[in-house]
Amino acid sequence: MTARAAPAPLPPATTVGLLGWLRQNLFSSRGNGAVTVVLAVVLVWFVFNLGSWVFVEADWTVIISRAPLYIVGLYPYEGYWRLCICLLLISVLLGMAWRAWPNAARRFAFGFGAVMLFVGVFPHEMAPDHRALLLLNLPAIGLGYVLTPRPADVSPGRLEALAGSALSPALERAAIFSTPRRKVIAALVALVLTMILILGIAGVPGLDPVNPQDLGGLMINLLLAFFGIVCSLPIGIGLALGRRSSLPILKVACVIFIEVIRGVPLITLLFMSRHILPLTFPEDLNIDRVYLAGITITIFSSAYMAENVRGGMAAVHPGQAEAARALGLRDWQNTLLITLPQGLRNIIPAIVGQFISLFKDTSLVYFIGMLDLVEMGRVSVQGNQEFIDNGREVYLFIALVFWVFCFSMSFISRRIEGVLGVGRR
Amino acid sequence: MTRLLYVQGVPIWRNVVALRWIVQIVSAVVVLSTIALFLLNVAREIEARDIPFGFTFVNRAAQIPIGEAVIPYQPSDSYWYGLVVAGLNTVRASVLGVILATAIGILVGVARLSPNWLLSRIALAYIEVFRNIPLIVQLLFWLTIVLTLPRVVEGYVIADAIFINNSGLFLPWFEAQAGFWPWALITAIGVALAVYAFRRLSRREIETGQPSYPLLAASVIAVGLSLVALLILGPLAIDIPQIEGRFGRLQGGAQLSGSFMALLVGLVIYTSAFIAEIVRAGIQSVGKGQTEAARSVGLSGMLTLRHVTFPQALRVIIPPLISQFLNLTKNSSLAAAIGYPDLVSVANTMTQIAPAISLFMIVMVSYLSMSLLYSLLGNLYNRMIRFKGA
Amino acid sequence: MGRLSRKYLKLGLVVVALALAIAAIAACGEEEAEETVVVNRLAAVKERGTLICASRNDVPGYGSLDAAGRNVGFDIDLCRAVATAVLGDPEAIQINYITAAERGPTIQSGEVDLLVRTVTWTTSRDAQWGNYVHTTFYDGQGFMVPRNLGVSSALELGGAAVCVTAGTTTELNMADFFRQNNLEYNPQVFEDTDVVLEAYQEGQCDVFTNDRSQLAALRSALPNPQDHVILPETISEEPLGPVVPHGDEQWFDIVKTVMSGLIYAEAYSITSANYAQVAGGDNVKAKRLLGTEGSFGQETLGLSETFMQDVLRAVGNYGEIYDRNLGPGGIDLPREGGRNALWANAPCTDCPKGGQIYAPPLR
Repeated sequence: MTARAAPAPLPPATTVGLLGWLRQNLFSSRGNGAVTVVLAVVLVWFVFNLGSWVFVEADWTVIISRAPLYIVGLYPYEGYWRLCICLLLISVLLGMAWRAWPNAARRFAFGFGAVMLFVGVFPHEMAPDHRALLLLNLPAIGLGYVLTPRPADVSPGRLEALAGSALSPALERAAIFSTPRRKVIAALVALVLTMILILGIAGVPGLDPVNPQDLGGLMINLLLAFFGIVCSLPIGIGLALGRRSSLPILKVACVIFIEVIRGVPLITLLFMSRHILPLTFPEDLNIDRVYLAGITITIFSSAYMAENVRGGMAAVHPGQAEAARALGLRDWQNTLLITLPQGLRNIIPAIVGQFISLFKDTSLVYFIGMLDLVEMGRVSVQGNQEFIDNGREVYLFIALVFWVFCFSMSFISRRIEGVLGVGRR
Repeated sequence: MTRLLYVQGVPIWRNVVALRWIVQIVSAVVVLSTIALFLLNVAREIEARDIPFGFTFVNRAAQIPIGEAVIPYQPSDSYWYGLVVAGLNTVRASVLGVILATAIGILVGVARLSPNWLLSRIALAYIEVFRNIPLIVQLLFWLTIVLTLPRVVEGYVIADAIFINNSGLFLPWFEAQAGFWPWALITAIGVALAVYAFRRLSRREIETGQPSYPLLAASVIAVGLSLVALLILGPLAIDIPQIEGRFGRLQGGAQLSGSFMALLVGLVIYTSAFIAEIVRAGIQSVGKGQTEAARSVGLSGMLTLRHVTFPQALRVIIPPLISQFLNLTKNSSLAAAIGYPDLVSVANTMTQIAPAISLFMIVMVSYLSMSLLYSLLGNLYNRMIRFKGA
Repeated sequence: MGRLSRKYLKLGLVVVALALAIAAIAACGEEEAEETVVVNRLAAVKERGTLICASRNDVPGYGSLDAAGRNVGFDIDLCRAVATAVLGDPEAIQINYITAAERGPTIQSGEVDLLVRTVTWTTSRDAQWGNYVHTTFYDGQGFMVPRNLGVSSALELGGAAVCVTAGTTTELNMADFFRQNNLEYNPQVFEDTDVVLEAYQEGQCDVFTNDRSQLAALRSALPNPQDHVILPETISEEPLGPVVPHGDEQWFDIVKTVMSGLIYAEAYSITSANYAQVAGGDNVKAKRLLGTEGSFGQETLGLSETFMQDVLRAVGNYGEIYDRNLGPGGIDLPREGGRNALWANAPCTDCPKGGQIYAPPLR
């Protein structure tokens, strides 16, 4: 962020170096200087107060003594190792992403590794085997990195250059995730394995099924947001196509669906899904509220997704469709093969943005009695008299966790935007 | 018989019109029967399980307390009236929120593009901090801040009339007297004149390129006329809040309760972070050539922003802005957590003694109508710019 | 074949479509209507292997999560008692956390077997929601004020700002009380107790109204408890107890019997520590309760003869549950001399008496 001192001594000191930078960016005029000073004073005061509260006054027992609850909810302790393995799978994927798109994913992989290292080493009550599994994430990231070939347009890293040609054939042979298809298959396998590990399979020793209701904490926020986005994409595309269709009945139905879902607060939808949706199923089909929440969030998200897709398709230049028609493509071919793919490419940043807002919205599932991160914090404070004064600590912690996730996602989104050149056309 | 299946020599299964109709009808049947199945199932289950449902309760007395109300409310009033009161609370929060969030969002968005490094970084930090934390957490934080204000008796008092304390903000407010309606009429005329003058002067500004201060002139006309009429007619008495009773609570005037303040601040800051990004993107979407051209024909910085950059940026800004307004309105439903009696919060209380499902249906329909109103505004705007652009 | 015939074609197709739609709707409606709802909850619970209780996790003493993520509390223990009686395992429970607004719909739809969530027994709820089984805790609503305000009666609260938690009868009782006594007041309704407590401590409101048991517990958690007084008035009756869904008499009786058994066990001094000896002892009533001699209807209810032994081993008797959660082991509410002591002539020698906790004769 700060400027590096320029080595060349030739220009006057007021235009280069720290001083020059200061002058140019902070004190370019008298008014500007005044603004800078006022803001700096406020900033220092704020940071000082926050710091003294965080490090001196706050009592963090409410977080530390119940840390696993915030992360995984009521997930049974015997199953923690399974979650650790899920993390390893994610690490491998992250390593792959790092190799394939170094610009977008490198910091993310670093950050993830750093968190794992910190949690694995930081002195607190944790079984040594869990600790070891967490530390294994670091080699797992490396594994993913090695298993993926270097993209043609990326120059070799410093380490690679050092190793020179001696290692490169070995590296090439190791890079088995070479085609997009293999990458997608790897991701899908990891996804299925993750779900199996989290929920378990009846009858398999060591993989005892877990009551979905016991999923909680940050894990459920992430799972709900992830599946909400993934499942809402096809539905959203369908709705968007319906809304663009020339068949009036279909169109009206899609418009009504989209506008109704977008027009009401999520908590009212959650309430209705809790009490109305079960009534539409036969009596003996008692679906768990986790799935109800998932369905509701997917429906909610698909209405927004439909609008994103529609916007993305509208942004495709009409010349594309005309060219397609000139080539003799039918209307449906035109939509599915020309307009939709280009439209989807347009909305990748919007999808990330929606993922962020969906992730924040998952904090509303408390309304149907699920113990997500926010609700776990609330419950820790409400349900224990010794913590009744520690609400601030809990909410600051929750805010920080959400912020880290949302911020890194919006960071990635901006990088992707850069890679795709979405904003530039 | 087979001839019936041919239209103008084309078999019906190859006729585009017929095919389209068949697709339509199939989709209609699917949609309608899904909805019907859903409704019938629900209706049957509601009956089978004796789940209370229905809307006869709305005329009974609600007997619930509502902490603050824009129009007078008694616990002996009906559920229906109680929901209206709560709905007005939601409207109050969202209208004020929309106005303030837009103002702050524009400021932050412009600050984001400021040449001052510190200012633009702080604006960036503001955006990235506030839009990446769930609103519910932010609301609880702001409530804590409001609660750390001094209590009523030790609170800040400005000019013996404005009170700021942890119960909220208390302002002097007006009471209508005999001459209120004539005064309102004159004020309305003044506003109309001001609008006219604003347009006239703006046009002159565009034509001549000389600053003619349309905003200043318009506000002088509107405020001046209204003030003169106020002095002559004396339509308003001023009601100053006063500390009363053994508990030292404030009575009279306009009250913005602590919970309301926390809700407003939370909603405004959260939404303004999004609006700032929209404004920034909008301003950046205007080509640099436009600004340079404006400069080269001699427009000053302020005039460039007003007549060149902003009008063009608005086209990009308005549609996402309206969806932010809608979000703000929907987000105000989190008010229950911090004690502001909005629609959801009051409906929640009513579920104690009235059918919950019916209540939530009413709530959903209310939000839906509000959001349709926003959509209407958005469509109107879209039509307007399309008309001008054509 | 011209425009006209195409028009007829369209018309015909629309008619066909509507007919199809109506037929589909009618068919579905009819098919569904033939199902009849038969619930045998005992069989359903046994088949499922877990007892589903609707409860809460945010009130100390009644229902909360401990640091290991285990559900603990008075209400939770009642749920465990029923699970032990029916399934033999106090851990065979699933707790569905519900908000106050959800209590009605949840128990009405029958998706849970038992509602134990500090639910006040009122007649309209009894009629609408489900069957109230047994009052297991008597509470009443009161007011807490800072001592320095010098208030000695709730009737002096005119003009006060009153803090209350949302979505409970507390809010409604408060409205009734102030209206009845023609007192002006300013309600401040919050969703969470910690927020209410903070608002009260910071002086945003002058009075905190809640169930007296809650007030007593919260008062002891304040920095200077002696600076706050709980006013003498009790403005409402709050009998709390479990609720079962309507429509299954047997299930209603089972839960009622378990609750009675817990109280009966305390009245005859049978605890988790001594039930094994008592079962082999010579007290006839105790032996009947523990299933070693005679019966009090276990078979009719579909429970095992010795289910009370399992229950006592798992959670103890009423007094033990109370002490662990609400008494000295929990939020430390006094029981002696209050309404939650055993009825006046309970036979046991060392348990608190003079209250309203009462079980019908078990025989």
